Amino acid sequence: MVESSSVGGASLPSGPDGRKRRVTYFYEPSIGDYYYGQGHPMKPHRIRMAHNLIVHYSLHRRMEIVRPFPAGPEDIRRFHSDDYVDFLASVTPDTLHDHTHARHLKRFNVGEDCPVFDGIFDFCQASAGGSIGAAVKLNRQDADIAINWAGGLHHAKKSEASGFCYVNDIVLGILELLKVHRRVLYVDIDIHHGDGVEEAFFTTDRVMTVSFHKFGDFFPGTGHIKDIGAHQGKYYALNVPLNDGMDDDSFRGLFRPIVHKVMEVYQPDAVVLQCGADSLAGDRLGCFNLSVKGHADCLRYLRSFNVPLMVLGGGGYTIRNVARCWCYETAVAVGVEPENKLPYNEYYEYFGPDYTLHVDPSPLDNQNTPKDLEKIRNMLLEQLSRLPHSPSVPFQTTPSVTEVPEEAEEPMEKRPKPRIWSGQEYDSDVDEEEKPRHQSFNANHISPRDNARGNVKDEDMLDRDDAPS
Amino acid sequence: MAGWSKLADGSALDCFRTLEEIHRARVSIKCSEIGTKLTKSFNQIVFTFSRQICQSNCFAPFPPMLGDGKPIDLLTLYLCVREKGGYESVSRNGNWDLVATEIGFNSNDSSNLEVVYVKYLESLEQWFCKIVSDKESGNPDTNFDPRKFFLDVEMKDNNVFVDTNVKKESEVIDLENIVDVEEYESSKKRKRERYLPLLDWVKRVAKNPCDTAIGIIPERNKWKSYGGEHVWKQVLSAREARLLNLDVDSKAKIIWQKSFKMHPAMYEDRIDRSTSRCSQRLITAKETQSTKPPLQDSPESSSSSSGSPTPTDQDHIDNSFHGFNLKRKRTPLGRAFQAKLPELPEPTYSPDPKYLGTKIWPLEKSETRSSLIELDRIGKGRHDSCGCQFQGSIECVKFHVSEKRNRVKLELGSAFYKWKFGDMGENVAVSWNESEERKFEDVIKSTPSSTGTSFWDELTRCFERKKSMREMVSYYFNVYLLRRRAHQNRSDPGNIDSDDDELEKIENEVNKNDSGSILCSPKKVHLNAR
Repeated sequence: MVESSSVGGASLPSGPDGRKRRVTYFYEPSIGDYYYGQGHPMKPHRIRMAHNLIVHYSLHRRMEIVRPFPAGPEDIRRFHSDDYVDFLASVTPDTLHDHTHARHLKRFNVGEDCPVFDGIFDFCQASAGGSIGAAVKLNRQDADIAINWAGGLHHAKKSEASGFCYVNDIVLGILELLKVHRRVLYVDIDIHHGDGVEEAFFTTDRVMTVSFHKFGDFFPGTGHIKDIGAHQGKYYALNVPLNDGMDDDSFRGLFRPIVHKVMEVYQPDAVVLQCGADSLAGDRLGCFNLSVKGHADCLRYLRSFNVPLMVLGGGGYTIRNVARCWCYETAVAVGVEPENKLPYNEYYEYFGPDYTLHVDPSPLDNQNTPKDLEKIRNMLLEQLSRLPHSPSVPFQTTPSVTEVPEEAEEPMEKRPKPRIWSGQEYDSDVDEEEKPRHQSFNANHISPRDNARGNVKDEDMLDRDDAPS
Repeated sequence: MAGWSKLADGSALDCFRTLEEIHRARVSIKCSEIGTKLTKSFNQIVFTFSRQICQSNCFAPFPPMLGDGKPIDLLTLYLCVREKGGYESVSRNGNWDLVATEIGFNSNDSSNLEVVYVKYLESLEQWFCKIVSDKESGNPDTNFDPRKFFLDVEMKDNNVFVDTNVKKESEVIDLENIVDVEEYESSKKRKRERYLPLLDWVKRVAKNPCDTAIGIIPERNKWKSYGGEHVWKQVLSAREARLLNLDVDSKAKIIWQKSFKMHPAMYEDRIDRSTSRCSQRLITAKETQSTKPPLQDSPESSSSSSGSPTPTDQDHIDNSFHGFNLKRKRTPLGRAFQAKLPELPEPTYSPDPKYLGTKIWPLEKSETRSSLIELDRIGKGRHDSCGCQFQGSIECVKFHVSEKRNRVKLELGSAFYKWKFGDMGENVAVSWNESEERKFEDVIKSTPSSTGTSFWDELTRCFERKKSMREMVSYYFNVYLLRRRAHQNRSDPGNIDSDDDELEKIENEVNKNDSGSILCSPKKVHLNAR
């Protein structure tokens, strides 16, 4: 068995990363049949291709695989507005031009980028159901990592479709996570700015959003480095604006120090990673130059913190590369390094003429100069240093008659340490395959794992060469 | 409100001054004090403001309406919100319901009103605050001359301003345009006499478009045959002449032509392909130059939007890197946009187990399979060497794929079917006979993308009742494209147009080059990364 990770330049030393994770993977078997229309670059078929590769690499043996329960309209309404959900639930290509619907098309931005196709709402339900299910799995501590490649549709707004996204499964998933977790970190490596998620949580400090994206004359146009959140959420939105041609090294040189600092100061209880694959080299709509390994390094790095992790899909329009990428990232999640020569599979010919898992990025000018990257990094690290090191204020109180839970009244010093990660990477010397499953789900509860941590040899991140200088 | 009536004689400039006054003195004005003229001017200010200052390319319908068609009077809304301390304060205190009821709406409409406020009025509010605060502090940087601005915008943009209230049968008479002619002329008094009859006529129309004294204006296509002795013809000529003189860009002309016949209604008729929301967020190449709109720096906005770093912080950072000087697009705030967060923590977290979904793998213990299945190692790739006569040929690959498939089938058991492996790849062709397959291919080939039509229309026609759309799409991805790729991989491996692009691109897609669409990726280098 090819065990974990120490292959290739983009992986962590196998030490802290070697621990096995319990992985749940959500797959809706009919997802590949949804079709946006001729010429439309968004192809749900890619999710089926990825699943096919995953099974042919035998990765399923390391996971629990679940068919998601479709999210109901009432679930979707937890973020989206009633009239928008009603519209999505009732519109079909045939009734598109009925008077009642026609009036709504522009209001909800449905029609061009976001066409009405057969089964549009079923598709949204499957996508959202997977992400909500993933959150429930993590909340119940049934899994360490939950994957939903049909999710990650980060552009959808409260009352508006945008950029091929109708229902924002990410927001719904995070809302579910927030029922148990105090702080959730959202990281977005789609080439497009994660505007829908950022907007949804722009004014709260309970969700920190971090988006790496192409900025400047590019959809959706938001995500300036100076957009950092508002009100209570000020400084809890982070934007990393990039230019064409980002390569593995440049990306890693930003991603690792920034995410490290974020983990250190924000100490999230759970992390959601949107793995939009349009930041890969050769994407039909993208203009970055990442390899599959460089892309997956983000997952590898976040995984190493051993915080409950939700992994979602997103963009990705050269579908053979999307399948490659998400298959490889599934392998990273379960801790396997798959061989480069693709196993024979039903979609084998899509991957010709080389039929390999990894393809070399093409020579493409990186328009991000080292100097620019350094400035961006320094500015963001400086911004992060303004955050209270360990968030001390009682987190945003939502107006309500419900009593504030006792724990929030406690003085900070007496509160237990963050549930899983304490600001330093987890050492995996201790085999914790069988963890107690029956504790209270109260986020402030000290779990036996916290106590165990004291005995674990911590590895100081700052000694790493990739630590921020 | 001393001086109110003096100020409010209805022109845009005076309206502007009045509003400035409101902001400065923080006085409240009751809606009843507002003249309709002022309302109109205010709409005009909002409109020109969004076009000129925010450089929004969106044609926002005027007046905005709620879903049920009830129009919203922007000025009333604006004043009501100002009275309560402005957008920030209303949102923070949750006063939108109050605003809604005060201006005669149902409190259910409050979130819609908030959206309208954000879309139409919020930046204006901030802009006014900025102007007022600049003036008070005597900021020398403000070299803003409202008179100049509004004369400019009135001359340039009234062409596109359509007042919904004035329409006569199929003909929409552009009231604002007429008013504008009036103002335009008044700035050139020496010519005034000449245009008196024309102006009188225009005024009469403006007062009552249904007045029989106006006479009947013929159909548009017959206009050419009428001479200048008709007053309405003079008005049209005057407008046309002005349009040419003013060097209006082509886009504005199109709008002008469009608006002439337009029945303005919410969410209809936009200028360009951008959608209402997209275009708000749209950045055109031109705008990406570092044009900092004044509102970005106003004290109000920095607290309300996202709190940019304070100037002192910026001073010692060299911010010349890519993206820093590009224009920002604001993230809208309010409960119409942000998610409502759950309480924390739920005392007992007990989610409905249905969300856990249906477990498909690992298999239930009850499902017995032969223990003799030879399992591939996890992560194992393929062996390239095989005993096939022509290694790497289509037949060779087909053989190995089907062999691998059978092994997977044995291992997966029921999961094989639950995951619909039966509907993956070449296997989908089993339910298609040879003539159907040939037909499918022929139709796609004979409907080249350049015709701008979809081959699906043709396929649906051909396979009516025989194949559902779902079956055809499945065949397309699982069989047709795969075979096509198999052929390409061997005949022309260096030049793969592959699973997408060329084959599918419909001609009209070329139009999508505004960055309000995600489809747009300028400077895209077409790579041949496999």
